[in-house]
Amino acid sequence: MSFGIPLSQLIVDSPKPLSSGITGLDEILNLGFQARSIYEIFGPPGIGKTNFGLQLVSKLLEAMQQSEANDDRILWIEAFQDMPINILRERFPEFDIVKENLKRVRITKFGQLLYFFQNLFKLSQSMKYKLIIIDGFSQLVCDHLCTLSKRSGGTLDKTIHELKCRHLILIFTAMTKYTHSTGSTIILLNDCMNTAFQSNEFESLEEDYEVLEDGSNFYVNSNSERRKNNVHILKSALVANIAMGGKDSTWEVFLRDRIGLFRDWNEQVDETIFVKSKRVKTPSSRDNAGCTIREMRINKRNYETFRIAIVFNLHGEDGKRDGGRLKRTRNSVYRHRIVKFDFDKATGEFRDIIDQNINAGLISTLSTNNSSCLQVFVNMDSDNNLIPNAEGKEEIIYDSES
Amino acid sequence: MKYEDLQLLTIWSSPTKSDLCQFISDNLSNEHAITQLFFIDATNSFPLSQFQQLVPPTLPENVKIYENIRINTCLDLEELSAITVKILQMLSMNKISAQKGTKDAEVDSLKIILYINGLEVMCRNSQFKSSPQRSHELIRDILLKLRVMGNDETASIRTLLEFPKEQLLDYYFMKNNKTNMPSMRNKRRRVKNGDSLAEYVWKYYADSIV
Repeated sequence: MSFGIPLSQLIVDSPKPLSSGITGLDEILNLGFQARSIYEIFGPPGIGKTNFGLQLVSKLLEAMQQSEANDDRILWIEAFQDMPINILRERFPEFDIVKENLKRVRITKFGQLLYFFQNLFKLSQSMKYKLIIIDGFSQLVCDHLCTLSKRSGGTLDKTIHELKCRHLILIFTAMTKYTHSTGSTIILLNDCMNTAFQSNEFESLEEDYEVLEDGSNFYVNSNSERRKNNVHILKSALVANIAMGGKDSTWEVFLRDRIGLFRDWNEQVDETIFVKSKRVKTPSSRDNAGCTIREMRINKRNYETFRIAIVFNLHGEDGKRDGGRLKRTRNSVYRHRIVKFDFDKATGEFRDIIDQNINAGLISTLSTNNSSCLQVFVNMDSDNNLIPNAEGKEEIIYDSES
Repeated sequence: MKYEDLQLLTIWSSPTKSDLCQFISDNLSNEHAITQLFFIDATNSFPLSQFQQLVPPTLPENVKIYENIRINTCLDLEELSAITVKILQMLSMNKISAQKGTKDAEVDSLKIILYINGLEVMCRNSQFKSSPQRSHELIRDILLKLRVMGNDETASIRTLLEFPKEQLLDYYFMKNNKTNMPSMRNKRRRVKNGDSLAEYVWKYYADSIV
């Protein structure tokens, strides 16, 4: 009598991981996105989550073209945003492979999605999708929670976190059943939210918090003196929503990895000091043009912007442990792994950063001092750290009259 | 941690992937070729890549180890109960063959390690499907069965239950402060929310916590 799958068979049956096209990310994910797994990708608007999803679709379609095995199918579930199918039309002039292998469905309610996956599991023998992408999953969950909260007239507010956990466990169970029976991969493309977002009452939030003058729309400081830990961070909108609480680990166990996409910049790439002439009109000037010449010192800095992917340590890797204590380390290097990449406008795809200068300096930049990325997930000690190069040696003047 | 040192039912709080791989490798190596590991899981958490690094599957001496590890996905307590019954039937059959008195059967007595991860998820799903009472009944039934079978000298089964450390706050408070009284803060939390499943299992069913 035997049951269960022997590990040897599981290895043989496991399909090749799906490459993201970013070498560093693939290395961290153990050669790519694994089968029988659910991944969450989140990030601020415009960072390229949908593009990232499209890239995964393209990679899989390319692999199908090369192997001439067109059995694998892909499902794109769109919640509120249409899938930009035109991009695939450009990438695959012979559009037939896309038509045959890519299916789209629009789902705008959490309940619909749950019902959909429960039925998909029942049909799993005939409807096998190798890759399922859900664009806007967190928005479905947030809408669902807001609806429940409004409908209850506020009576659910104290238990809304518990409710969120239960409902997410329910849907992730349905998804896990499907992924395990078909060997598919599910990618959730989610928004991110500031952890200060705790209720629908935005007025009260404005009284309590102020937006720092660093041009960031997300990073806010608390006015309340009681709260010493007043830094708020960007988190997945599945965590930071109207149902925040301490039991998120109950549903996070279903996620293989959580990947955050953010922007960062490489500091002091090129610092050039030069003298510039400028005409300034003064009342005492006697020449015909009525202007005098003054010299200005301009310290011009070029920031190279790029994107980073933070692979969050959801399931407690070795570095997090501290004997028998429950103390969490604040060292981000142990907790999260960071990869940088960029968007190639010419090809419309994400790619590795080849520049060695940036590669050499990145990890130290992210883990030690002034970086926008660290604002995202580490509690900083000083507000000065918010502004890059706040202690610059020269006054920076950006002159438009060149 | 060796099979011989394990008690009937042990809680392993947040093991690292490397520790888990090492434990499996130590207990399923060639000296223990008759030991089978049933890895029952709700979330596909078997550390496959780490295990492949530690125990290369291509080496001929490791083939048996990979055959002896069996992965089961289990998302609610009804499924877990069914799997447990099957394992116990397997042990009973082995016991019957041993009682027939053939020497071979005695030598080949089966040792089973049952590793369960995600019990809380299974419990919550069962609560959704049926009711909290039914889910509680199933938990008690499964854990009692495992203890009863483990107590039988001729049928060797040891159970490891994985729980996150965060769910064993009382245990760690008492361990770190060397007291038998849980903290007031945890007491208040318990009055409000009840025991976590990990604490319940620790208090009433488990022999030890690793």
